[in-house]
This record gives sequence, structure tokens and C-alpha cells, in this order.
Amino acid sequence: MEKKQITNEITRKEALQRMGKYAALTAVGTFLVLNPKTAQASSPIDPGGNNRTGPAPAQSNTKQGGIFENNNFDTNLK
Amino acid sequence: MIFTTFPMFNAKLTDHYIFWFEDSNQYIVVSETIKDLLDVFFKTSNKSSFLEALQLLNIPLKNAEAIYDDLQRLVENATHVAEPRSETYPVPTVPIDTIIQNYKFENTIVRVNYGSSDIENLIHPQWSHATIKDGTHPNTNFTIFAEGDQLFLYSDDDFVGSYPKDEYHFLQGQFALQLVNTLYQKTESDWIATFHASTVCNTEEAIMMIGASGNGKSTLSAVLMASGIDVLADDFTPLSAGNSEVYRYPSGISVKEGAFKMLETLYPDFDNYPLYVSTSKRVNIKYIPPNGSMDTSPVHLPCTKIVYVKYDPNAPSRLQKVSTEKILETLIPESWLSPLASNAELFLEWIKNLQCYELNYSDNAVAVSKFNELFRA
Repeated sequence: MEKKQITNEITRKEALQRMGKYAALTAVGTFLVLNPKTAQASSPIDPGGNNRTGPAPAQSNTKQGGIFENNNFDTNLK
Repeated sequence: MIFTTFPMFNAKLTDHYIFWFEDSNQYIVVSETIKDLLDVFFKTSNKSSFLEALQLLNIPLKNAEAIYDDLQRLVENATHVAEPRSETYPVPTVPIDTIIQNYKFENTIVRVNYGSSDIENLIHPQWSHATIKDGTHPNTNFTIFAEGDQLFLYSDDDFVGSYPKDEYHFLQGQFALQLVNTLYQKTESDWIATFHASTVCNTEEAIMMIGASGNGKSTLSAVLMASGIDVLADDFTPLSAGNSEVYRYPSGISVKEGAFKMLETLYPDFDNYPLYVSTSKRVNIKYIPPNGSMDTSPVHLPCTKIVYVKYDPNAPSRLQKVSTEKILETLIPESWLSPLASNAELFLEWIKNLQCYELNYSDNAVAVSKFNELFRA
């Protein structure tokens, strides 16, 4: 498996684990946790070259949670 | 647990709400349902009041308890302040024997003293177009050198920071900030953010481009510049707190070998641009000098449009409106945003007025035409 694919697999697994952490919330709505970088940084150079297609490498400052679909939890809240 | 630290600010986006937490400088984007739950969470003083409130809304107790626990975890995470890095390094003496380069940006002269040619290679290539021979009376005198496994940055006689050699991109980012501080007589607290974005402009407005690493932002900047569009900034776009406008970052546009052949058709002098090998010694890159100059082109402009760009040769080209939430998903984690409350408030105000788009393109001519359309929109 390509290194890029392995990295993406790990990122997806991490996201799934975090979904589990907020199971009740993800059942009622969507949320996204976004952490800015703590310092300015230039772009890391991608040895794959320009004009790549496909997913980009995982960023070092990863977000937690994700946007998940509402699964029709019944509530009187709008 | 009683929380006394509530999010400082929140704002409404298209279909979601965004909260900002001062302790962690974290942003949370939530749907309306979760926003309503958070309102109840912050208004009630403890768990039992929260559960009572949710039972009035006919939410079963077991679910309400699970929701409370999740919200508590979410807010605890948002109010957690990371431990500052504990490693400290003795501040070494600034070396005398350095490689000196002087750069001129309109009326500002910047001198950089590089400790070695390897260090010079980290910074100089993207500024080589601005080199001048004589840098008498520079406005700022930077020194960058290595000692041990650390890179040190000084601005005049002041120590700015040290960065591990293998994290040299932090040195490059800090240098970029120090440079715009010099160019515009600002300090870090005068910026709302420095976005990982490229920005193009006309005389009235700027349009920001973001995208995942490797999706072709810089190449697209080069293509747009060849068509006559002014590139205000490549890869680093600072947003000022004073006027909520984006400022010119007058660097060369970095392009990688994969795009050389295509760019040779757009830039007659392309072969003459020096070739650099990246520090990792795995990528050949060139820097295309910017066409806009600081004395004749706008230095700062309002920006109300952001485009998520993606080159995909296998898909039809398409420009479509997207939600601000989708843009923030990339913009925030990839950028430095000021941790100051006053600047976070300005950021939330700025994003409320954004028009956001996604551009998938497989053809340069189409990309150029779409951007020209956006300038007219």
C-alpha cells in the first residue's frame, strides 16, 4: 500500500475513533472542531510534484471530530 | 462541573454557528440543533438542571445524559490550554561571518545575513527577484544561522525564535511574518491571521484561493499571473486587524518540476529562472517573479471571496458556490489565526460576509475565465 494511502487510512481511523467519542452529539447534529496553527509555517514541499490529484497528505495540526450526517434523532429542538 | 469559561464569541453562518474559545483559540462549527443544546448547556449551572431542561423538550433521560457528557467533553477540550514547549536553548552569539543579501521592496530595504548557503537556500530563492547590490541603511537587519540542531532567527539585535532544523518551515513562516511586519510597520498582534492561501486581485478587490497541499494553488497563481491577473500573495496571505484587508506578500511564486513544461509555454523567460533543489533534495523548484510591484499596484485590498481550488484532469471544470463552513474546514487548520480576542472577533465578522466557491478545473483557460467571472460578480 502506498505511503499516502496508509496515511489517509490512519487519518480516517482517527476520525472514526473520535466520532465514537461523541456518539450522542453526532446522533443529533453536526459539529466540526477546528484548531488553527499555533505558529506561522510555510507549505511543506510535496515530493510528488505539482498537479497531483487525489487526497493530500495528512496535516500535522489535525482537526478533531468531523461533519457527520444527522441520523434523524427525534427531538423537539428545531 | 460548572464552566465559567464560555466561548467568547459566536456567529451565525449559512446553516451553522461558529463558536470561538479563547483558552485554546479553537473554533467549533455546529449545526443549529447542537447550538441549541450548547445554549442550554451554558445557561444551566449543573448537570441536573441541564437534564431537567432536556426532559422538558421530551428528550429521554438516557439520551440527555449522553448528550451532556459529550458536550462536557467538547467544551473541556475547547478550554484546555496546551502545555507550552518546555525545551529551551541557550541563545547563542550571532555570528559575524555570514552571507549577506539585500532586498528592496519599494522604499523598504531588508538585509538578511545567512549563516550558510544551506540556510540561504531556505529563504533567498523566493526573494531573489528583489535583490539589490547595495543595502545601505536597511530598515531591518535579519540574521539566520544554525547552532546544533536549531535554526535561530534574529531581527536587528532581537532574538525572534529558534526552530528545529527539520521543522525549517516554521522558520520560513516566522520570517514571512517578520518581513510583512517590516514592510507595513506592524507587529504580530496587528494581524487577524496569516492564511495558507494564495490571493489574486484587481484594483478593487482580492480573491483568495485555498486548497489541500499539492492541489495546484501556486501553479494556478502562475497561470493566472501569465494571463495578466495580479497575484497579491502566494502561499501566505496576511489579513490586517486595522482594516480587515489582505496585504501584498511580494514573493516569487514557487512552482515544481511537474508544471515546468506547461509554464514554459506561458513564460518566455522560464528557462532562465534559476533552478533550486528543495532542502529535502527531492524536488526541483523555480520561483516566478511577481508581476505586481509595490509602488504601482495596490498594497492592500478587501477580500470577500474565497475559492477552494482543485486541479483534476479527469473531471469537467466547474465553479460552484459552497458554504462558508466548507471553506473554514480547510482554511482554519491550515492557517495561523491570532489568539487575541479582539482579532478573533474581527475574524468572525470577516467570515460573515464571505462568498465561497469551489473550482474544479482541468484546463487552464477555463480557470482563468472563471476567475475573471468572479471579479465581475
